[in-house]
Amino acid sequence: MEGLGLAKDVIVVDKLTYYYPHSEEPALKGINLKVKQGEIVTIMGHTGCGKSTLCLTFNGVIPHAIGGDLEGKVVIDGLDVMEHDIPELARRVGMVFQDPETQLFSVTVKSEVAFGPENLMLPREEIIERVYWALEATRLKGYEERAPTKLSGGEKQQVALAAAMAMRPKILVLDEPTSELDPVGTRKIFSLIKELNKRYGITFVIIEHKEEAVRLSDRIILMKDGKVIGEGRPPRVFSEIDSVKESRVRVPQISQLFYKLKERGLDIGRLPLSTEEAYHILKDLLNKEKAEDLPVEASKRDIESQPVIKTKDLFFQYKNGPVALKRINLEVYQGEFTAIIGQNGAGKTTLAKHFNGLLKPTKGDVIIDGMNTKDALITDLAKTVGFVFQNPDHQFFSFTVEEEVAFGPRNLGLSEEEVKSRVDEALRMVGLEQMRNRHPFTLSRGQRQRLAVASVLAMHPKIIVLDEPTTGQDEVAINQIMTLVNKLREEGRTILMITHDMSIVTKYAERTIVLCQGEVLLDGPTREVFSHPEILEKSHIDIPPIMKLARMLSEYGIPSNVLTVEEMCDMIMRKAGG
Amino acid sequence: MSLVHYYPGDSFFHKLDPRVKMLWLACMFVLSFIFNHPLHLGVLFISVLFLWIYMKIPFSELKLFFKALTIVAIVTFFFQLLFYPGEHAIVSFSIPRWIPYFGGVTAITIEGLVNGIAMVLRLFIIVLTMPVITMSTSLEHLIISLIRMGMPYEIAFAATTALNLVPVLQSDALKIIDAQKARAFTALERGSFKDKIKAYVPLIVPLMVGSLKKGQQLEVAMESRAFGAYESRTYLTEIRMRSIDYVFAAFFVIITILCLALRILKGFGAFRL
Repeated sequence: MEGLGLAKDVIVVDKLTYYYPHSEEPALKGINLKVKQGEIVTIMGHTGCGKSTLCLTFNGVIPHAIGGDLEGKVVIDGLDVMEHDIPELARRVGMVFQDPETQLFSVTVKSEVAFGPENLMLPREEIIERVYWALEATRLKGYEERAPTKLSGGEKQQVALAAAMAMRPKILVLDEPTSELDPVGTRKIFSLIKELNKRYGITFVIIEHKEEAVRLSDRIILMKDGKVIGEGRPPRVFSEIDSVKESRVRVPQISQLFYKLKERGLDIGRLPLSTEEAYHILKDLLNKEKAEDLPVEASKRDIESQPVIKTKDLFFQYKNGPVALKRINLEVYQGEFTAIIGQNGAGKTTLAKHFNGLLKPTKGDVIIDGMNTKDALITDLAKTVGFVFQNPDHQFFSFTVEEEVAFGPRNLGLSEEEVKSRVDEALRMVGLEQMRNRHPFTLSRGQRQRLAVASVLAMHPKIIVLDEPTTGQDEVAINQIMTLVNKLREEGRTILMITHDMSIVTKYAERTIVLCQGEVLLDGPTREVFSHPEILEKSHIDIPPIMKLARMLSEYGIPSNVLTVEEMCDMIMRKAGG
Repeated sequence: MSLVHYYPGDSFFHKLDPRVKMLWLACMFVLSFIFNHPLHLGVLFISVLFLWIYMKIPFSELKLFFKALTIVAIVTFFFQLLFYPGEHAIVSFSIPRWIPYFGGVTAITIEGLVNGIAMVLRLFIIVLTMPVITMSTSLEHLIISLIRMGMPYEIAFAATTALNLVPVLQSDALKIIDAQKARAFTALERGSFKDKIKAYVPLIVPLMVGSLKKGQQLEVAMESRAFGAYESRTYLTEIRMRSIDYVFAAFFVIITILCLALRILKGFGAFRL
């Protein structure tokens, strides 16, 4: 945005330090920040870095509702937050949060959107006008009488945006608005942000990890431990790789590539962010030549042996619901690392729940390690298949970490000595020995996820199923969990992982299964599956930027089926005569 | 069974102002307490049943209520039958005094029988009238009428958002049970009664933590939309008493006062031998 130079500052944060009530350690330490009218700013940083806390000061919820000690100044559109109350600030700053369940509470979309204006005591005619205006602005016309609870995740966040817009704010603050959404929902929300910014000049402050947010932003702010450690236009911020790594933010793939090239002596002088930019830089370095595709390796599996998971014409229909799985025929072998991908509602979790007998097929069979789940005991299946659920908060039942891990082995009726040795072993594997007496809910999100894995490991399963193990976590936590999963695979365990994160799929999974509307769309070695971009895009799966780049560069000697940043780096170094 | 489920419709009862519906509820309560004749109570009971059918509430809902009430009804009935002091015996017998609880019961009387039937009818009337209101009124209208009747709006909203969290907690509970099964915990399915009770403890821990967290997030989200900003607020949805509402209100009040007067003066609806 070029005209921004003249725009005025709508957010000014000056030496802001903040302590939560009953807390000795400040959550924010001397923050200075300015946001201009019409800007899109993305704040990035590790979990617990203070980014959400900072944003809650913009509408006065901190300190007016939450309390605590605030030093320094926050000025929103000329109003000092300390001197103005929430309703006055809420007219200027709208908020959208991560979880639709806890920000939508009305019976219809219309009444949800009207909630804010009603609180402002606006006359009824104006409320109606604003509701229709906000619904129109967020492309929700026709949704007036729908129940928010019955909408898709993406639509729910659209409603949350509409509800915020109805306050006619100058500024919208979005706290991880897409972290519960699949790529389709994510794209919808980001395109809406862009539109609202263009059409109505709304200033956006977004907390987000995803690359799409980086592409859309005028400016990135990096935070770490309550401080701002980096700030600037996206390419500049991501060229200072050390501060990015320090704030535990994922570096966009294209930046990663150029950083790696630089490390290996190929310094281009600047670090592009977009695939188009990267393409133009790289094609000048490479010669025009036809490229051979990289060979597709079959996964390292023991074909001689029996498959550990076998489904035969599996059909599944929910009670009074639609058919969720159709004609699923799969064979998974010992030691394979398989990713299951597909958009929300494609049947991924439903399929996974058949592997440990939580669901039984309506028609067909599921054979796990020789046992048909139709007549196997849940205890025997639990011994064979460890299931790590999506939300760690739904899988802890005990008051200490140690007890939590012991829960499964005890249910198997093992002796106390055996239970103890298994607990020790599992905690050691996930690196939580120091935490054994803590309450599970006092651990960080990343630690809780590892605890979930530990409590499954203690049952010595052959097969481990992980449902979105990296969702909502920072880069460090993601790397920790993936290193752990990879270690488990190297020990010979079979891994099945549901995920929306394609860079993880391409980096770790040797086999990929694509589900679409309850059917297997593609199944094979990951490299082969990803060489059908048309099919993947039809089932709304995001192709990682590095693979898009490979496709663009296929006339310049780069194989079009390059999967990872590392491979791309190797190929370029080889071709560019490195 | 969910008390808050709303079945939209266009019957006259659906269209009544929620405040008039609440007046009807109060009248039904008064009448069911002043009458003790099974015949009069029976008429009230049938009128409530008629409303359920007239409003086209699915039969399955009614069945659930009956199922839930059966045991209470049976216990109530036999308690009245045996212990209500009456003079006209149907059967006489004597239970020795040393037998716990039942010692000293000498007869089943007509008064006991009639009172037993009356109590059961009362129970059904009271339990079945309330859902008639929630099932015929949208939550929005219900909240607004409560507020119009003097309830502070913060409390009305707190109550309804809490109700909204119930289905969320239900689905959380199912997820937790799945997670327990996945770790070979089978007490909820196979265990003895004592095991089952114990099995609910690990269920309650994550559920409590989850709902506290959700409550906090909800609060922040509502505050961010200026909830609680002023003493009062305005509403998109309007409720207004129409003349038909006044007619029905007057009708309910007059009938009730009439019955009350007749009951006191003439013993209308009282059971006498």
